[in-house]
Amino acid sequence: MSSNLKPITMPKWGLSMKEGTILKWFKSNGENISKGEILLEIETEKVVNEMESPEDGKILKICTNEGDAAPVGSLIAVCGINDNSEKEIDEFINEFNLNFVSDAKTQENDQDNNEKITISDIEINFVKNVNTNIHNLLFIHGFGGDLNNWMFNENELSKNYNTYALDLPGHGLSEKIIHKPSLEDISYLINKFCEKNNLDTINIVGHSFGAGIAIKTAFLNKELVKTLTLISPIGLGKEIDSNYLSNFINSDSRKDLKKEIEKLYFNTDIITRDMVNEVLKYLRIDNVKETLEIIKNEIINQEEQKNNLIEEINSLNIPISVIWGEDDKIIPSNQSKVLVENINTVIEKECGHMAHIEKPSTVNEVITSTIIG
Amino acid sequence: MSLKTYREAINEALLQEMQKDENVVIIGEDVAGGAGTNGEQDAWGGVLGVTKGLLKHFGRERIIDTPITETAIMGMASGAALTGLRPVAELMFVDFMGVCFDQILNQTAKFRYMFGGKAVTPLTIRTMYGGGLRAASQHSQCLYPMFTHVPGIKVVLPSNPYDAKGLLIQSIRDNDPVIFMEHKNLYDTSGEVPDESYSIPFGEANFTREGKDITFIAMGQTVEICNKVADTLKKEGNSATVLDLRTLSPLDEDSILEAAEETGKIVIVDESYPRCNIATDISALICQKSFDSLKAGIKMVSPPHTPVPFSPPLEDLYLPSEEKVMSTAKEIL
Repeated sequence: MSSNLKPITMPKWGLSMKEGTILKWFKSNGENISKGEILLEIETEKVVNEMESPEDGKILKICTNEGDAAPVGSLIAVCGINDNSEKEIDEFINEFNLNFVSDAKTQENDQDNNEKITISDIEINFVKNVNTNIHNLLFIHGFGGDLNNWMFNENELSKNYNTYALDLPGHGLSEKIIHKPSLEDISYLINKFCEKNNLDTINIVGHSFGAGIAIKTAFLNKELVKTLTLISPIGLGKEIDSNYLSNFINSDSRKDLKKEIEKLYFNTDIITRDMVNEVLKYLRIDNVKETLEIIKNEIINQEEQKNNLIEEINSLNIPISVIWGEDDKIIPSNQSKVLVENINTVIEKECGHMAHIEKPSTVNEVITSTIIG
Repeated sequence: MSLKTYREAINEALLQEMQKDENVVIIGEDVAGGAGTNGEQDAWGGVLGVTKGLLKHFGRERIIDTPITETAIMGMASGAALTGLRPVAELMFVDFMGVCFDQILNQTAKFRYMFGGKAVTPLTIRTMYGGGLRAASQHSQCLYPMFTHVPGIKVVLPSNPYDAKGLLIQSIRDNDPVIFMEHKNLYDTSGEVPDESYSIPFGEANFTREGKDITFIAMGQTVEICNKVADTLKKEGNSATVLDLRTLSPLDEDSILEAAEETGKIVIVDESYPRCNIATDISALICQKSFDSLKAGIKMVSPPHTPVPFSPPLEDLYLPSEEKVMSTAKEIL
């Protein structure tokens, strides 16, 4: 078999993804592609997003056409450098398909790898992807989110780092209760989480409220936290869309909730029906609304942000990057102006409050460069 | 989150609500089984085993086996609801409503209204409906249009395990009488159901598929039929919307009109008798409020106007099927 042929496979975006449907190919057979270039658009149960080319070369054969679904890991196209013969390409495809075992077909893979740990009497859910890497990476989601928010980041970065992602109290599959909701209290919980997982040092990626927790954790545990990558963090200004938080909590219908979720994104096409339904299912669980209300009151006070973390973040002596969508409708990106110079600030165009979902490759690059310097 | 059957989801909803609120009691024929005898206790758990296992948690005080008298079951449950309990009464087969309909129609449904809003009747009636079990014409009917017709009763038709648990919890917590209708063919279907307790609000229909070419409106068991047809159509290049009504009273009119307007081509699939059923009602609603959006005549897939046949080949021919829904869809695509 010719060694210059490379498979392009269906990506795995998040734990629950079993298959994806190809909505659009931006390249056709015979076209040159380069690493990082947008190759195609894929719809999963949860999200519609673009996939970048993992290779440099030329598309030799598209195996999965627009409108068709394919399981995670299956061959969707063959990429190469030279003009290989039809026969070579066909042999490559046959061999790939012969060796391919779908996740969906193996029963044991149906079980997720969520783990539970009890900290301060609260059962915390998390996933980890630990290998022999040196650096540890912890993801902390924002208000109303869960660890699946990191579907484009966690899996990708686990190739180079030991990754951990947790569900905050009252979120995801963690217990729907919060005894002490302040940033100090939750950063204590993060500290304990690292302790229980035997992590001596950690690089934290936090989003919004989770970024506030990350700043506080770094400030209070200087030995533990090595770097911070913050996406649209709280605590750097007074302005915040306080209605978003209340409306999100009180959304009872798909329609109401969709309106709120749309505020999070620059490109609202990314939102699928199942994405809205998943959040709705979460909001309907007993005690979720009560817990979120408590957390909301830790974020805002009389329609303004309650926490001021400017001095704390600017006093930290570790590598820090802040990524902000230019079109963030929840917390305006100009709040990044208060940051001192040595903090790497990235204002991302055509991006809202969820840069890690809308611009995952930028976010992953920034995380990597923050850690390796 | 784990995979549970429709039967397990209902059992778990009952278990969790009974643990949460000691006023919740279950009343019905053989809901445990064996009461007052030396025979096996908890022998049945309802005729299809849905309430099995609850007796050991709550005892005979709260899992109440009754004599074979639906009239007494509904009378007892209504009175208990009026005086502070939250009973879940089981009317084994909805076909038996004939002997207890006065309790439901003239008493339970009217209390809040007749007492000027001062009385509440937090009563849930669980019952089985639908064909396909070769159980003949007195054990296979749907009859939900008859309850939907009566103001004062909420009518719930869960189509899958997730909805079954959330809608039953909502039914028990609701302060009005609710008839919760379980299709016999669905008990062994399974799906993802959270272990935690949760409730789904009434009057919120659910889009189970979204498409541009045709809209299926379905309820209870017919939702899965429509989902399968939609998936087949997708492979052939047509995309279909499927709307699961979830509750017939209250009815989510907004979602019905939204689903109809998306494609302008509508097939309503309803397993109940074809005269004055849910399909005819929804068809009228769309015609009155959104006539201009229609690109073809509204189609309905319902059985013929006869009792449900006992003969298996005839029953198969009688019930809405994927083939019938598909061929009806093709008439307007």
